[in-house]
Amino acid sequence: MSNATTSVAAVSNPVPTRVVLVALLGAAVIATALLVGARYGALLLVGLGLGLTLEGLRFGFAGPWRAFILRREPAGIAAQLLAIASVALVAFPLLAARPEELIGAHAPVGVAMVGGAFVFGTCMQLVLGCGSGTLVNAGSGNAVALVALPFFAFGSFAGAYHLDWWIALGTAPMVTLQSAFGPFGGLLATLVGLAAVAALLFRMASPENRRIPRRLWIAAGIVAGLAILNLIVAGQPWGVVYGLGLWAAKTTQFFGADLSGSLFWAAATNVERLEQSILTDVTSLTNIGIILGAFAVASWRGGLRAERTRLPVNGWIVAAIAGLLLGYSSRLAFGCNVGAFFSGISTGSLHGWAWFAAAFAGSVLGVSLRPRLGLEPRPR
Amino acid sequence: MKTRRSIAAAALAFLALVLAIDFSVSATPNPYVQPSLIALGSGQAGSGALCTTAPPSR
Repeated sequence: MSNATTSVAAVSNPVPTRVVLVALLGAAVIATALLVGARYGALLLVGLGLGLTLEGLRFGFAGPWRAFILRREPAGIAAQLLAIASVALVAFPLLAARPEELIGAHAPVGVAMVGGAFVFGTCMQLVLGCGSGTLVNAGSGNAVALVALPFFAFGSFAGAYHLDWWIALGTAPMVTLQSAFGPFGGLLATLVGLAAVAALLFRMASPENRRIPRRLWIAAGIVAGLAILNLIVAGQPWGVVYGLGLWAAKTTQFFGADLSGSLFWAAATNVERLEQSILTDVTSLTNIGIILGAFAVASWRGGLRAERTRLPVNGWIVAAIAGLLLGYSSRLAFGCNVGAFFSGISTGSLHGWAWFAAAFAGSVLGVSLRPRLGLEPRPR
Repeated sequence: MKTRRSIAAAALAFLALVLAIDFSVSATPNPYVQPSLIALGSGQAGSGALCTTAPPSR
């Protein structure tokens, strides 16, 4: 074979790219495990798995909600509910058996929590990316997500800074389904609730849309498995926004900010996070892994050769403002689609259900706002 | 044609910047002081730093 033939084959063959990417990602995991700690390497690996799955199998949150609102397609949301139910089946017994080692994504329902979820739902439709979606989209070369991401991080930091004020507006005592019905009753109530929502979605769907593609079954299973691994390895459920807020908090410290005036950032747990590297922070590691995993899939699929997003100027302004609001509102709501909706419901928190209802209502508004803000053509 | 490659590269640069800032303001990780590989069965509590973390009451 001539040299010219060899080089053409190398360019057209995606295997070398995959090998190089897998080697680089593997090296990152091993380096983290050796230089920081085995648990941290494992969590980076969990994040990579999530990024590979979310991008590779196109498993998302904002897109499926939009598909249901506009076209009554329930498959994507049903896959989310399936993944949540799968995690709940494992998480409820584990949390009951090992409460000294494992914690759930439990938070109280309140005025600001519900309002925050509504705003988050609206904004995630404006940028077509949620907490995990913004990370995945940025890693796979979506310019809107890249613009939104730093604003998301700063919003998360600011929302956490002001969180005590928002909580004081009115917050109910924390309720979990375990505390209300016991571990088994709580799990049963969660599964019945998820099944009821799925049944309602399929009832509202047109007959030709009443099926879940194989791709989404597989993705739901892998995402659930990785979320369970996150809980078992880290001792806490999968989350996104805490890590992003921490990145912004460290950036403000880099520029000399004193965070001791914030009730949130001056709390012992958060002071420790501010002092220690983000490579020892659970949500930071999985966030990094998601971006890198999505980048890897986009690279070896050739998706990075696609033309980049074009938007009018106001579209970029909306992306920045929506990014800021995504971060701020998700702190008030005690999590985003991952920390509150996915992990909250799967570990028995009532706030996860309140988040789902409020964010879905917000998404309906967000979908209707997109044409008015010039983000897509107005329907005729 | 402007492709998504430059945007993805910028996302990686963003991560690198975050890590550089982190290294400059945080303690150097000590691999000799680390939690067990898996929290489950370790007898140790998690960090408690997650999305549902609330500030202490005034």
